[in-house]
Amino acid sequence: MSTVVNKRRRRANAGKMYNRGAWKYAVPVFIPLVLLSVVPLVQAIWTAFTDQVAGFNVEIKFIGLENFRRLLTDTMFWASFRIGIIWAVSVTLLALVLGFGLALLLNQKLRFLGLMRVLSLVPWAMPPVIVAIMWSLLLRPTSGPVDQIFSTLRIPGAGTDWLGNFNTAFPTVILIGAWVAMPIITVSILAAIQGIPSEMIEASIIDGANAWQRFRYITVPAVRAITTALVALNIIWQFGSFGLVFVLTAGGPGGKTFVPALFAYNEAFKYGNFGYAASMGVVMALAILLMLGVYLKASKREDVQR
Amino acid sequence: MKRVKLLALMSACAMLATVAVAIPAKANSIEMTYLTPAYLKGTVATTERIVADWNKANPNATVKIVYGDVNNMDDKLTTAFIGNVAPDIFQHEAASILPFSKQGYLADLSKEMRPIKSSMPIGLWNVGSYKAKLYGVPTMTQTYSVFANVDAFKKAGVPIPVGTNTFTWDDYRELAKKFTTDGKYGLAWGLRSPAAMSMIMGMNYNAKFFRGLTSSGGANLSVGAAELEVPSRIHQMIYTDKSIDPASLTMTGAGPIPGFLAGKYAMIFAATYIAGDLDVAAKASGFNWTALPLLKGVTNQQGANPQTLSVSAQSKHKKQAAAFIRFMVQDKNLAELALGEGLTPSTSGSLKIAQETKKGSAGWKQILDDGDALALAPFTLVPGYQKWKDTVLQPAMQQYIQGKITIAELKKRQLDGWKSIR
Amino acid sequence: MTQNIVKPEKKKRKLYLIPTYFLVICYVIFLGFPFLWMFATSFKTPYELLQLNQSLFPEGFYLQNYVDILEKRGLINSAKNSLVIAVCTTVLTTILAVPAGYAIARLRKIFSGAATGWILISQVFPVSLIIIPLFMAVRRVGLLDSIWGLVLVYLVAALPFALWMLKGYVSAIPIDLEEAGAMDGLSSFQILRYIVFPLLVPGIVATALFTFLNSWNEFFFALVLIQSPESETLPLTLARFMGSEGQVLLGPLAAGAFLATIPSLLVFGIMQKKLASGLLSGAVKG
Repeated sequence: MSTVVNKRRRRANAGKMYNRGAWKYAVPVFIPLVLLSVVPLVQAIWTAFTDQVAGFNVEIKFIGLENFRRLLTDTMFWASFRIGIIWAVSVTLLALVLGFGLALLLNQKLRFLGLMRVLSLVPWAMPPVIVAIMWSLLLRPTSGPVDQIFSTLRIPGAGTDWLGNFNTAFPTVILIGAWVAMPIITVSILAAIQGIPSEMIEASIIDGANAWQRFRYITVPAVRAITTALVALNIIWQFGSFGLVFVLTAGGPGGKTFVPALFAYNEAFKYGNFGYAASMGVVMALAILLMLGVYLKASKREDVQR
Repeated sequence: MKRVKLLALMSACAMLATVAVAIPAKANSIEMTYLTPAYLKGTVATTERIVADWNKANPNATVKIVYGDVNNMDDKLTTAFIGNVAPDIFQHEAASILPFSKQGYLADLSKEMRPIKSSMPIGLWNVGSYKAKLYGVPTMTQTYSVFANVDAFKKAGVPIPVGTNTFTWDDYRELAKKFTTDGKYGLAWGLRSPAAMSMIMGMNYNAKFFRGLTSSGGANLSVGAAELEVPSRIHQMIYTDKSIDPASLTMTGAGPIPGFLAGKYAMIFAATYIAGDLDVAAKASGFNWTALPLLKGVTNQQGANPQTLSVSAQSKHKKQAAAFIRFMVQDKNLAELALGEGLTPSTSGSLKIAQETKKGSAGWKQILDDGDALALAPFTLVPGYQKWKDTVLQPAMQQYIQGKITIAELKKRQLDGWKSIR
Repeated sequence: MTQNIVKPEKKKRKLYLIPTYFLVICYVIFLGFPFLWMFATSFKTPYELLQLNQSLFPEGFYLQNYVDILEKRGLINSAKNSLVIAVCTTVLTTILAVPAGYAIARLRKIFSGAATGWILISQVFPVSLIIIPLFMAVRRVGLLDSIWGLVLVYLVAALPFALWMLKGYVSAIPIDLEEAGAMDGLSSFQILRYIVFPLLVPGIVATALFTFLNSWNEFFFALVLIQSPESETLPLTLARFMGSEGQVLLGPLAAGAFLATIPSLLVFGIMQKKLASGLLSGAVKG
């Protein structure tokens, strides 16, 4: 695809030529960002180096890396950390596969498309407080509708308490997590596909490209940047969230679904150890940054190679 | 930069709006806020009725209700305390306000509440206190009870245990076995989160868990026969007698109710708040339920974690706030509030009214009669106990109950976990 | 655009429709069933909800759940607050993020990389641990317990996502189109307005949708920053139907959640349809 390479080179030159003034469009964004994002973030990171605990007029001391030293030997945190990584990556990948598939379907000329479009938003539009409650009702062992469907159709697995069983709890929670994460992926990818200029598709049809080639050389490049962003952001959000897991399993059974965000939350708000909790936050943030750094670099390299 | 101006303008407008709202209506009158996690229809109505009565009688010190979410009271209060915007009065539970008491965020109410001290079991009074100061006025409490399907007992010709301090764990085991016939289980027990329940019920066998509470080196965990008695009895009923429905083991506390109402089991073990649901079924379909006497090992004592009313140390109106609490816990008010939640009211006067109101219901009569078996669970005072309970005991108990580990392993995990937390 | 896809190969198309529709059915069930169940639940009596085997079809239309939530718990007021918050946040985010997203996409690598890096860093710290400093910051600007404080917080929360997504959408637009515009003598603003913007409409709608729904449904910030019932948002009102240990007032909660879901589904269902048929972008272009 030498034309693509040419295009890229041209694009870079063009950027230098007349987009020099583009920076001013980014300025207004920075004022609220600094006020309500940078300042709190810096404060939260600073807390990780102090012994701050909850209390009326308690003195806060700088203790350097003491919290991190303690955290290193906190086996329970690292067990939960591992669960968090698996959780974030699996939910994101599963949601990406399901969401991408749905976006491709929604771009076809099919019946019931209107219904599908509305339904694709349901997991997102339903208030989060009720999502977990509805799913635990659907999955209620022996009497819930899922179990009834399973036993009527004689699908193996009927009678399982999906959220209580040691082997099934984590995969089930991941599936529900993907259900919740799907719409944003579907909608964003669909938008990217719809943003492809129709001239490009027409030209490729004239050139005799078949459906697969059009998918490979037009659709995939068009959604590449969006997909990268979606994967990265989803991993971040999933790693930092615990609301869904909290209502579905409260971290059980046997700690199988005890995600690190819940761990850090408990440390701060239930046990009042703000400093120690913040050090968990810093470690989680660093780990994610490292992971995403590798991922973004790899996806960029792939981008250049193409 | 049009956008910047727009934003600045918007913020300015918003600030003006807040300032305008903040101007008090009258110079001499005050308004206090009361944060409550009440959510049941009846309790909400009662709370509103009580506050309306108070406001009518005290137009110069009115109260405004703020509803909170019971699952997020801790974060809500923590941030409010730090930001100095805490409600004047709030309802929460004893175990959760203990950290706030230690941290100095709560006002000492011992003096203001002295008049009602004698009307309350001393065990309850102590649960709301820390270092001999009262920080939370105990209002109502749940107990863990065995609930029975009266018709199933009648059909089987089995007499229903009655009285107080009469029903032992051995009797309980026998009953569960008796009703386990032809593919039916005698008992369902929602054990998804068994840690708190097993510690509270452990008091039946004088389980202490922690020793040396006052020693300078801090408390020590010790797990002996007393601490393991309740878990091992549950285990025997599940695996030796096979009298507990295994499907119920992973349910929440209230999870077995539908099966119980459908006649799947003769008994369920649950906290008394489920009585409200049972009443709904009794009214709709004539379901005939009762509660059995509190289980007894060496004693029938259970650790209490009552609902409490507290005043923030930051409040500018502590006197009036305390007066409002005294108003709330007047016998008639407290009885109505407690019954709405399916809980036992804490003062003797309110208990009497509740008993009078519910005298037609055998189950309620039993629950209310047992109200004095509640005591301070000493482990709640141990720093770090909550973290140990959540991160060590909870998963270990879940594994033990699902038959993944032995009792020796359960003990080892509890001890190792305590060491790693400290 | 859809009509451009696959016009020849008619026979092949028919064949591949079978697995396609099978997939469609799977998606419809997976996505729709929990919603349908919630809808059915909202018409069930408390006693029905205690029964063991529940049906998708309620025994009757028990409307008390709706009466409860509308009359007793101020759902209308909190819906109004949520609507104001979500609309303001969405408008502000779009106004700020579209030009900025364009800038980040078209700037030299070093700026674009720095911006992406900041977006990442601002998001990776767990929200629950930021809440206390954020709470203090909002208090400092005097917007505690005000819906405008929430607008500001949600704006900041939505911006990183919006910027990154818009940057992605912009970079998918072939630069040749812009060059052509530049050669025709258009200013950089005109290029943005007449060439980039129309192609960006689907992406803007997706981003707006994200911002709207996230501020409509956000719970944790609202919980901490809002004190008085008058400023309560929808998710706070809905959370008041939950008790401890998994106890819920299921009927009224489902009724409230259903009412809270419908408006956003309708609005964005319509928008999506218009988008797909090219109406929206056409209108802008015209």
